[in-house]
Amino acid sequence: MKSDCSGFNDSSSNETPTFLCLDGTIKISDFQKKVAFELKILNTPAGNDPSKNGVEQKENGERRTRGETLIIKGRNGSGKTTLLKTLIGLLPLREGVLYFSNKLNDNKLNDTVELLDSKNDKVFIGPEFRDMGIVFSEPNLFSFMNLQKNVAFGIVQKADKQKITKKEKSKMAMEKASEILTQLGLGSMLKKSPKELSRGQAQKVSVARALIIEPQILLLDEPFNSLDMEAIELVSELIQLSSAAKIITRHERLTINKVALKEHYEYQVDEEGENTASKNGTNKDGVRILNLS
Amino acid sequence: MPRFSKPFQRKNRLETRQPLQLIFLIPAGLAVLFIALTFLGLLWNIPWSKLFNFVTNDTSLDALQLSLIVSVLAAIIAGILGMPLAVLMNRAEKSNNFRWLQIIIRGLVLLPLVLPPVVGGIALLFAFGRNGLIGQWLYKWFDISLPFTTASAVLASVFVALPFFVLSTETVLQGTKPELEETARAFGARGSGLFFRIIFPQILPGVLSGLLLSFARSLGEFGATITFAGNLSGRTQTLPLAIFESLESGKSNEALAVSLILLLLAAIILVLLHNRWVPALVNSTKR
Repeated sequence: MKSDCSGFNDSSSNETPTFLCLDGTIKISDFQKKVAFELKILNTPAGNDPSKNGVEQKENGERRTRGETLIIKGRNGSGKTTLLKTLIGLLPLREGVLYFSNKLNDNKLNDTVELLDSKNDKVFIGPEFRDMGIVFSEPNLFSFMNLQKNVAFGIVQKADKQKITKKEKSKMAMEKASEILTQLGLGSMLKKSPKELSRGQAQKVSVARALIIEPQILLLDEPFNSLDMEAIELVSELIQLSSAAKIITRHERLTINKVALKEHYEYQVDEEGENTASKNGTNKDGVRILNLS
Repeated sequence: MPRFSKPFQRKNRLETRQPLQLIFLIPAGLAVLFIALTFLGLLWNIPWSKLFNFVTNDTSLDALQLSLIVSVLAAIIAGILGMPLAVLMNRAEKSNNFRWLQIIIRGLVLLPLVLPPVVGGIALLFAFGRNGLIGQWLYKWFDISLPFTTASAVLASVFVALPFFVLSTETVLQGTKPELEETARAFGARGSGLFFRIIFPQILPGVLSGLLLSFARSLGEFGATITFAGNLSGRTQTLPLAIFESLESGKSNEALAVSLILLLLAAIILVLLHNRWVPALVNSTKR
């Protein structure tokens, strides 16, 4: 995998544009680890859209852009979670650079390349300005807010681009939260406290909280760990609908994720990709694997 | 047929713990008896027939009113000053910087907790009295003279109550979940929003009990108040001072009656602290 982020700035139109590029060192407890990868933007014909029934299809059969998926594998303590925290801006890079481009949402924003994190250039953009959503391996719900407020949290907090009042923003966020919770089968529990949920239900809410902000990059730290089969189907489908680039961590051998995403791409990774691209490679379907161990 | 050995022959088959031993029972019983008899002595001697008169005379009512005003103000001030202090102390402890400064500040803040209140009163007098280190300038520049005013009674109470609030708040701050703070940051919360939306709701029960503790401590404040604020009826004579004066001038019945008021207030605070009232209050504000 190309790793030095050097070609990041020149936007030669022929190649698929790079979307996120990391070349740096993260600190895991007492040792440092060099990590490098890049995510590209996929152009898939709208017809072949993995999201079913063309929910997100563009008009006139245009090609639809969506981000690649990166699967991070590794043993316990190999830095999977640390890497995700570094990407979203909870931890700084020890060395190196993290670039981010807005090309995914092609027309919505300017084609800006942003340096998110670089020690040498003394740049660090905080998580509030990074267009990313995260699902931790623990649900980490705010126990003192009801489910709806939990899910709406990200929208209420994020600095917004549209000029709307705080009241309108929070009203919109609450409506959207109730919508997405209903999709996840929690529509009757909007005003419940997270304390009343089972672990799996809490995990669903935590996924909803990340999806609602419609981030360009979705960071998922073993998101299916405590979900039952039915919930896995539901949640993975919702995750698929998002056009965000996804970065998913998982253990070396975790069959449940395989089940979860097999319909879409994970299956292919494991059956073919594992052999052909098991070492930090990419397979044909826009899924890369980064092995941390 | 098997015969069961002795350990199985318990009165209550489901009781799996060891039976209580006499060596614990006797001191424990003595402790409870000591406290219970003390209160019994108070209640026994209270002049129940004239109680209403003693409680509703001007001196008692003035003292009650003043006590409540002083204690509420002291608790509020302790909260306003103590909360940021507790947050900063908590942050500093996590960061491990300026260790020596942390130790000094912690010692300073907690000293009034173990210091005899009279010493606190003397210190206040020589700091904020008319000739005191700070008080002389207050008097010269602003014409403010603190001693023997209600403000000085409040100040004395804040001095003794502040460590209670800070300790109680710091304890709950240590119990907050760092991963919730991290999650909130990942979703864009920062600065004061992070504190008021994520940390404050977690520590609210502890803050409320800290306020109650400060209130209770102020209610019973005697030594620092009488030294710094004096014993002026209607201005600085709080309930404990009123009891002291009644007892001094031989009116033990009045002293007993006023003591009963304080006992009742203490009981109410205890119920608020230990019963579900405070958590219930917190929950009801949430929904």
